[in-house]
Amino acid sequence: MTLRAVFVLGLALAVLVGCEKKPGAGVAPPQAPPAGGSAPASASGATTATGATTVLDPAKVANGATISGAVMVDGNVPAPEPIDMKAKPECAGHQAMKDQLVVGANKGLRDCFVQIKKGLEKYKFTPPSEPAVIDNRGCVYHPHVLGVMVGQDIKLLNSDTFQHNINCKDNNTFNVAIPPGGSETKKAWFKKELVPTTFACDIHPWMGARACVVKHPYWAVTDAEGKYSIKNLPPGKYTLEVWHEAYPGLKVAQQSFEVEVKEGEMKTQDFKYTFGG
Amino acid sequence: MSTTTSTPHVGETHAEHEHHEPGLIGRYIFSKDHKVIGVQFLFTGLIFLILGGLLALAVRWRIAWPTSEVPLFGKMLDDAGTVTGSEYAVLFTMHASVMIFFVIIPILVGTFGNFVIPLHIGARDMAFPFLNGLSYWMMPLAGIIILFGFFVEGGAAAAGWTSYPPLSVIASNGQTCWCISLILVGTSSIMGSVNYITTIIKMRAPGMTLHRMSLTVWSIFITSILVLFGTPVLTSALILQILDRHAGTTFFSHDGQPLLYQHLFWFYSHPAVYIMILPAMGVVSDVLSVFARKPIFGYRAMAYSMVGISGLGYIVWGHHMFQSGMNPALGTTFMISTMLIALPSAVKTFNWLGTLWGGNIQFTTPMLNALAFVSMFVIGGLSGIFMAATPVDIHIHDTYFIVGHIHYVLFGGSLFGVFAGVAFWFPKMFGRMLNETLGKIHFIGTFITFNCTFFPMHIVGAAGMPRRYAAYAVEQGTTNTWAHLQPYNEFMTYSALALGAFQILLFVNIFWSIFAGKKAPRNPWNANTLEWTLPSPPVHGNFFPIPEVYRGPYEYSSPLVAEDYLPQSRKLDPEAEEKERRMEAEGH
Amino acid sequence: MAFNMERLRAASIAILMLAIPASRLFAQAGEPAPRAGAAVALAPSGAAAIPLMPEIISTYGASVDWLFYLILGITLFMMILVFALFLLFVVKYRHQEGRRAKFVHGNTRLEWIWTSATAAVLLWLVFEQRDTWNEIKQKDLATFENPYVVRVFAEQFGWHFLYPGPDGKFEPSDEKDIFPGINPLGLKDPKADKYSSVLMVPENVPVICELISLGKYDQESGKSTLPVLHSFFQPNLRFKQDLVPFHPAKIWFQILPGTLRSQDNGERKFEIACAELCGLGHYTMRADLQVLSEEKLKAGIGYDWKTAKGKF
Repeated sequence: MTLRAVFVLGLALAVLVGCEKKPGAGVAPPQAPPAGGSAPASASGATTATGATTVLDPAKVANGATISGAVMVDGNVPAPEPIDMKAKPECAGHQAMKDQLVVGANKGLRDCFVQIKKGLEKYKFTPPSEPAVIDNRGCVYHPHVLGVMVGQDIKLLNSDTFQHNINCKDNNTFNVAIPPGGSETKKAWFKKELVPTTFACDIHPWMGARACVVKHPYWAVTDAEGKYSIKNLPPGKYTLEVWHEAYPGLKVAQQSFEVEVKEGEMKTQDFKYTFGG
Repeated sequence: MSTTTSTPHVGETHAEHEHHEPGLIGRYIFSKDHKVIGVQFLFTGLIFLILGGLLALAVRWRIAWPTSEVPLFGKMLDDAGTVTGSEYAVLFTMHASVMIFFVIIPILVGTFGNFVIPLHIGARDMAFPFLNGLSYWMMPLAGIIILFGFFVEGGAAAAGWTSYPPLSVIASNGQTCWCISLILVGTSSIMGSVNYITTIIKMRAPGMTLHRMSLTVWSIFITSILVLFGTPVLTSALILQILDRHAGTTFFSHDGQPLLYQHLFWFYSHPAVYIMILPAMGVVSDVLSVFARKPIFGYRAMAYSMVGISGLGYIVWGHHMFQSGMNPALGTTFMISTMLIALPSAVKTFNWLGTLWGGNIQFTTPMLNALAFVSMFVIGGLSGIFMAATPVDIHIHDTYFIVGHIHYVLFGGSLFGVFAGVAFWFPKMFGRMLNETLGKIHFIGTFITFNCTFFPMHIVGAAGMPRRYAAYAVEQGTTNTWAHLQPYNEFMTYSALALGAFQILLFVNIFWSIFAGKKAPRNPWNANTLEWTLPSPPVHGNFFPIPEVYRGPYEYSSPLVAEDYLPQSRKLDPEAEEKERRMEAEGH
Repeated sequence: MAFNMERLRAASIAILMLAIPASRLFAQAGEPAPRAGAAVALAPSGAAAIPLMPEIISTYGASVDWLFYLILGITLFMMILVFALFLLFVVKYRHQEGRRAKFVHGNTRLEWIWTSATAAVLLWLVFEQRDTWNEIKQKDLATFENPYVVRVFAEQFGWHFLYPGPDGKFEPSDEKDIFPGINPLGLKDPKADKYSSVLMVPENVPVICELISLGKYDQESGKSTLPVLHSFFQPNLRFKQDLVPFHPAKIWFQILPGTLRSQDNGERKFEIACAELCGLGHYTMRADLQVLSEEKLKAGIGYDWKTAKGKF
């Protein structure tokens, strides 16, 4: 009898230990109120007052406002340098430049993530049906910075003729090996906002990408000239914020601006970074 | 399992009172009968053997064909069906952990310890039957927890079976499952060993002196002492690792001492290698003697060499750490002690040869497996000398040479010992004979494919091919130095697949024979030890009355009797008795 | 499982290969064996040969190989002896109806003989290997005059090699300054000293490396990943040493003169591997060891190491 009791107790203990380790609640809808164990949403209290929010489809905003502009760098930006790929013979012939700091001829800064940080709390958004795509091509990630919505699918590609992997080190971690020419889709992957979420390749140490995960579609990544534009905004008062990955010597002059837009208005808002000094 | 329960109750003591009318569950599940617990260990071990084997095949598949889909089980891994680099780390970690802690130790120590000790020393049961049952039930519990690792975020343990920090400290939560599981398994081992030691010291039948015990009992006695002193060290290392992982301590990580863990780990795990081989040595010695129809050659040397191995076993752990950054001066010290430990192993090998010399060898399934043990242990033991030589170890450390060596010892040694022991005691366990034809086909297939799988590892290892690599081709982003050895790798994988397939015969044979095998007589092998005087299987409580023991267990082909065996408990007529005493005095 | 002729062929080649190294050994065992010479002679010379041990490029490699082949000889002899007796006994003393086995319990003298013979051989091995071990791992590195120095950094999953530069001093590094891909070593001034993913060394000069395991620092979160164990393994050097976090170790080797052959054009590559499980990408952690002529080395590291007199 006692032996049986000990066994049952042990089993209960095992189940208990197990429950502790279980990954967070399954695939929750992106806007669901935070469940018991999971961390509270970082942005604001909007999600808790479910009744007050309305679902907004940016494509259907009639006569929306647009905020656009450019991110520029001041200072003596170093000349682009080639990546040291000598450790990996398979990358021979794919020589690429370092992609952590890419500045255009006009001193515009590429790969900045500009988003509406505050002012959208009263809306809910459904993630787009098409996935966010990241490709391993020529031993670097394309794109280097990508925006992803909470609940959106992510498609991982490998256009190279050799093995790559993508190791997502935070937010909702994964580590996927993608065979040459292969692809894999992570369905409705991220459950919470995180700017930035780091991607890295365990095979090619120089490969890195940043996924900027937000709850809304009002964001843009700057192009080679540092330009961005956020369209179809409903009128309102917003906080616009810029992010660029950390780089030694690079500083932002002012990270966020208050912007108020009326219906159909076209506003310009530039950002400035300084380098060196 | 056909006995009535009424007989044993005659003359049972008060302590057995609780067991009065055991139901089906009481008799077969939560049993306190050492024989049932032994069989429970056996079946649990066999189930884990299937799992560990499949993990090994997946490992081999990945090495041979990194980009092709794993048949049958591929879809369990991921959508592509291939083994990825990270899954590969999980596979080899879990393969080793399962095989060591859930197959070899439970079967060798758990099954043979439980089943054989009381029968061989003439006891009714273990000293602590409840502790015995508890010790068994810790094992499946630990098994569930280690397997649970597969289902936690980040997957099961992937830091190797050695789980060196700091890597294991930053690994996924499966690592915590691994630690907890090993602590439980260790606790189970400690409970078992306390029981074995007490039983052997206190419960021997009258006349059963230490030097009349079979070598199986000797080996498990010594193994238990190793377990008792070694396991707490591992347990403390694991607890410190858990604290490092979850409580923010820095025993082994940050600016702590990663080498401290290695010292603690190998202080247990080197003796653990002997825990995994000594019982097999004991079993094989018994089997060899029975089927050579000849006394074991150098009985005392055999027993004392095991004592020597266990003593030296505690001062050689550093040979796993020659390249670890440990003070190189210690390397010389451990090199000397490691060279010394080769000595008792050599003595044992020569004594086995001596046992075969002049015998009348019967090639039964247990004997074939025991002979395989001896020959494979020779290779495994000799290849160990390469590692003991510190300068050679610089080159072959962490290469496939080590993998080849450990498999020659643990598969070629321990597992063939298990096959021999299971085939030998199967009639006594289940009252049925194993099918000899199936057993022989299984043996020949296993022996050939085993050598094809593991011998080439020495060659690729000497070429420097590192272990724990998921691929050896430049398209995989890895080294190119060993790419030309890929034909070897493919050959080893083909052999491993065949090796795996032959094990199906083992399971078919066991399960078919339990139900449909030939009924076993009391003493099918004409062996001397006490269990063969009992019905097959023996009843609960074994001996009624407790037998009197007159001689050692290896008196085969004795001139005193007409038959070629002389059971330990047979009383000779006074004239022959006098002769025997004289022979004993002469040193026979 | 896609079974095809290609794989069948590969498997049969592998079976053949199994036999070749053994026959090579027997064929060459008769050669005169002054310690180093024997090992060099046994080392495979062409790509067509099946290597048991790869080509030696370090000064101490030959004595490692000598030991390897010595032990191989002893163990092969023992194995053949034991197996021959084993087979003989098994065949000769197989079961025959009506025969009785010898009633023998042992032979103390015989047991003493084989125990002491084994002990003598093992003791010989102990003394035979001690000097080699001390030479490789216990050498007093201060005795080298003007050695070539490099700092070796290992991270998950790659190698970096830092050269002291013309001033002979290594640029100090700090984990907080690590920017992966830009300043992977966290050097105070990343432009001050040359670092590379290739270990460039000269021929016939003592090379001292300081091995350091590096944590990965993340600027965004301000957290660093713990440095883990790695192992610096170069099979041609016959050298291996684990890298223990926070406990840098100094090692040495010297490239054998003649490693650079005339067809190499003053430049020859060997692979460095990681031999201690360091994580999921462990197997991808490789780098090149480049043996260079003086001119090529000067061009590669950007200064003349002889005048720089590098120091730790």
